Amino acid sequence: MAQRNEFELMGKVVIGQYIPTGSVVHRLDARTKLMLGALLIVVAIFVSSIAALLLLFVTVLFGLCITKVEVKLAFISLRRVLPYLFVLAAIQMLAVPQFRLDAKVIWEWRFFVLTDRSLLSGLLLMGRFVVIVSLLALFSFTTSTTELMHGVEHMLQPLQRLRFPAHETALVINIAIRFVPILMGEAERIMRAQASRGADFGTGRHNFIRRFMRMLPLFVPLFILSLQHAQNMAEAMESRCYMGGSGRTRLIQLHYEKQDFVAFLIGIVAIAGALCMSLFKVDQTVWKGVMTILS
Amino acid sequence: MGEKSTPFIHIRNLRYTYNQTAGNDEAPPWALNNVSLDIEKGEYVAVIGANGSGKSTLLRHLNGLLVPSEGDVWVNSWNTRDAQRVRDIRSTVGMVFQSPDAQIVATVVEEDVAFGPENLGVPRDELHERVKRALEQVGLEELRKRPTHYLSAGQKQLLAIASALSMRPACLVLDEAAASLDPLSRSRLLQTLWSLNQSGITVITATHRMDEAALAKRIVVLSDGKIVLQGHPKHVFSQTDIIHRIKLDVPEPMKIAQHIASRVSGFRADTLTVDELVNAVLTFRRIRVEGC
Amino acid sequence: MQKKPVIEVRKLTHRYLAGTPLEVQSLRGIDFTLYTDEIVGIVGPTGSGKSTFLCHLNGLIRPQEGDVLVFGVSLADSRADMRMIRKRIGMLFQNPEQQLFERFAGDDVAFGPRNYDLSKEEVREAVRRAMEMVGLPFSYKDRLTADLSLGEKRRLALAGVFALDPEILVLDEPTASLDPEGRRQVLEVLKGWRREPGRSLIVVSHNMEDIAELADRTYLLSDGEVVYSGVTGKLFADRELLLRQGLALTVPLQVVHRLSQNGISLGKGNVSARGVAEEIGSVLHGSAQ
Repeated sequence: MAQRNEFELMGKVVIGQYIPTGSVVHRLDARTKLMLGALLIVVAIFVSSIAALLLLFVTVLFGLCITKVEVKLAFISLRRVLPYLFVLAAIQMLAVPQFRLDAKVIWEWRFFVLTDRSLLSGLLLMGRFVVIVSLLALFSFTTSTTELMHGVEHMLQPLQRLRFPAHETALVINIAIRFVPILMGEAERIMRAQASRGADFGTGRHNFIRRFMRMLPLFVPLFILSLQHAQNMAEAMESRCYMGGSGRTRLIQLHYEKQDFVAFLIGIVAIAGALCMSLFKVDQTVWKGVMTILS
Repeated sequence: MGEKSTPFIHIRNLRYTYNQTAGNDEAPPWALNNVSLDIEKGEYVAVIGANGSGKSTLLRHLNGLLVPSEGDVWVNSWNTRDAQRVRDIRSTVGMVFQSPDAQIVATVVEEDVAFGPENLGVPRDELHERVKRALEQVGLEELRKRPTHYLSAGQKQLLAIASALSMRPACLVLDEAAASLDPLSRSRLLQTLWSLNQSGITVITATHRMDEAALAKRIVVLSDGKIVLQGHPKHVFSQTDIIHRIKLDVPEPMKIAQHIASRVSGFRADTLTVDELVNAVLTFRRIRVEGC
Repeated sequence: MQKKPVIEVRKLTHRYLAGTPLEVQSLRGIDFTLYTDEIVGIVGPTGSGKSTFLCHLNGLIRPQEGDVLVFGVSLADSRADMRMIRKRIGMLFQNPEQQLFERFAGDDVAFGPRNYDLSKEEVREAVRRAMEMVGLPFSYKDRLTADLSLGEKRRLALAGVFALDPEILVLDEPTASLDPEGRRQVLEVLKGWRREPGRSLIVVSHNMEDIAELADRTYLLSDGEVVYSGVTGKLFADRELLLRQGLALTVPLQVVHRLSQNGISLGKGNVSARGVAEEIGSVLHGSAQ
């Protein structure tokens, strides 16, 4: 019977897994994925039509299918979030008073009221969640952090002319991401060392200050190590003549290819369709139709 | 006057203190105290000394990371105080540090190697060529597209060397680069340094391991910020009283030879490596046998 | 007289990230014993599971399969008093100076005793004793930790472990990154500590010279398994095994091997520089006759 190990930090962290399969989606330019992804998320949030969300979801699902990655992996992360999602949706549907104005009551119990408006709003909430989570899964399966950083840096590049430190920003974020697992490993080592000397990292219910003080044997050395890393890194970069982003050339250049234009096309069509469905209240029409058939 | 007579690295009366705020009447604690040193192109120099003797401080003066408090350091006839020349100096003297993780900038091997020349504005086609060549020089060509966090500590240090080599330096300075490596990675790194030196690159390495120092062609011994001894390894390590006084040691093969010499008269105790020791024993026995 | 085992490890198995698709087997059925009054070395290539194994010895990792018995107490038992175990087994990991966090050196040494609710006088006495054992003057307790040299910090971290007066000491790469003087000091401290009766030491190291100098018995770990366990001298004599496992040979061993290739065979028992030198001396005297 396995017992929980107090200090195994590495196993508990779940970062979106990059799964290289060489599919078309993987080969898309990082900027395409970033821009489309951002647009789709924004549209999903502002659209208020279930049909529209359905269209967007189908588009993302299509994307997931062609990545050659097991689609159900995308929904593992969704599964973990599901209970919280249901609670939120339930609150939205049953307990928010605003949806009770000018609305037709469908079901009632004590002070929980389900109206047609609140039902719609709850469904929209869940729909948006599903679209966004699966979109993020699609993105993280097909884009390594390296590609992501190249994309961000290229997109920020024009700002360099306005004296915005584009390269420096991208580099700092890149290095910070790179150091997360390193620092986690060092934190684990330090915790083990202190625990071996009888340290107890706050398993009791003490007040906040006491808990914080107990963590000092971990925070202080970790902080010192981070500063040392920063100092070493700065020396190494200076020794290689780093003087900011101006005047640099680049080994990796991003190019838009055929598949990027196709992806943009599909994305724009989906977005346009979703917006139309929302504007022309397709939902109402379908709802009325369903109601007529039922009665 | 003639440029040919100036050595590649020329240090004169170098004094350095980390404590810039010492009062006027007290002498500040000198990390380097009146060091003068010349290094010619193509040399392989090992700087040894106990922890805190000033090795790292000295090395950081060689590419201008530190600038002397007093005295001067010239690299290729450029003074390290000259702000206009910093780029030239740093692309002529490449530096490799001790920590494998904290000198790797990029997430992919080839991108890290490209970082240096990118900073110098080298055009794109040449970038590819330089990356390829640098990786070949350290034997990492196959790992070109590998994410850097998948490398072992030894491979990371070789990467750090490649990332310095891509700037086409005339000289490579290494500050305890092999200190945190296991024995096999360390020996691979030292072999790489040896072949780089053979190909004409000046190598200056700081180490507290005597077996590493024994591989160099010249040793500079630091103690308390001063040079107390320098010369060929055989000469340096034969000064056992000085070596022991400053808390260093001699390489293992020499220790064994010294033990033998204390029991067998006429046995020369100047063997730096296992090869030399074995040969000395065999030669000695042959001569003795023939002599009878 | 039968020596008492203080640590017994039976068929210890461990899977890293068990249950996930990234699962990796790190230990496969390890058997290990530590008796009182001895020094045991553990060697092995990187990734052989040495660090994982060490973490099992004081309960930082609980056994997934198999058992670890420390002073007769099974660490697989969830009721085991880990606090007591960690007082009796002192553990020092790699680069221990990185764990120092107190502003003043003495306070860091006192961290352990303070965690065990000793009285102020007891803490002070424990710190004084511990610092004396590692050769640091008691006056250093008021020095800033940051002002100490690497060798001093290393010995300070060691003092921090000594302060709890353990019966077993486990060290991972104790001399890594130290200059010759620092290394000599640490080895002296360890040997001195071990001379007191009722104490035993486990040393994990890449540095074969350290193992040769300290360990009576040695275990060779490879890919999570024990590949050799026995007298240190015998392991060092098996050159092929060491090379196959990617371990470095000590200089005396290399010399012995090269000489035997050239017709001079020395006894296989000797692993020390002095021992080998004396044997060579005898051979050369013999040939002079």
